[in-house]
Amino acid sequence: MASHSLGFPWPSHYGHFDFFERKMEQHQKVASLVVESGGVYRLVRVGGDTLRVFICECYAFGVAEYLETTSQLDQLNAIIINSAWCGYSPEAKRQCRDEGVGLFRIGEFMGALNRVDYWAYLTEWEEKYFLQQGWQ
Amino acid sequence: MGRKILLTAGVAVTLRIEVFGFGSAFAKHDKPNDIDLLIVHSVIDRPSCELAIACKRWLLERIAGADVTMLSRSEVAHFRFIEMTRAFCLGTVRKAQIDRDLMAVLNEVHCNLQFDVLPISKK
Repeated sequence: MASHSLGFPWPSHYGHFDFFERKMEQHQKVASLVVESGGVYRLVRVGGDTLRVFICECYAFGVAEYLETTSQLDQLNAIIINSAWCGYSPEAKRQCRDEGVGLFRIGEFMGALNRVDYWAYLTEWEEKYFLQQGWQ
Repeated sequence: MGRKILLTAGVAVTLRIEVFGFGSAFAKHDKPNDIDLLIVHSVIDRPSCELAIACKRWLLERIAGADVTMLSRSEVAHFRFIEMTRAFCLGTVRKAQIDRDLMAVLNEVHCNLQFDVLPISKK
């Protein structure tokens, strides 16, 4: 499993985010992707807006992880959970969405990038869950 | 310093978190990659999250190779994290006596490690 230890942000288990970078290069809405540092990228969309994106690998991304991340990295527009075996909590998704920050797995981010309000993109399961919780 | 008190339905509750251990460092049959710890905080409000973050930093500074996950109780339930990882409780940390309680947790980590390849630093 992916690991992070003393450092922040959590480094890639494999030492790179090649898969993410490849997917972004292939995306029709992505004009450019520039590495900032430590898992942070500046992504320019076709149309001109720039997203500050943080990609990480952690077992489970919750609200406390979100608060820690933003305290360390300042303003972000999207947070991507890189690993297939890791996830984020519905509460973290809700908090991010309410603050205009997208929280996604890579596949979800690919879909969200097609929307102006990318941060509001929910999976089918999330739409039902948010509705059940009265979070809409 | 005064103790931070949360009032829930008329009952005073001290702010606290629980620390769990899981993964290969605590298992006899695996070779450890790191020391996996889970901090469970009560709710997702800022004071509760900030206590979890403070405890995480304290532990990371003292345990080489530690990998600390923070989740609220409801988030833990969502992921079924404790069942899936077979995490076990190493102790409770109260904000009012954070250093003393974390030292006790650190001792529990040390006692439960199955391998001695990942040094615990005594800061």
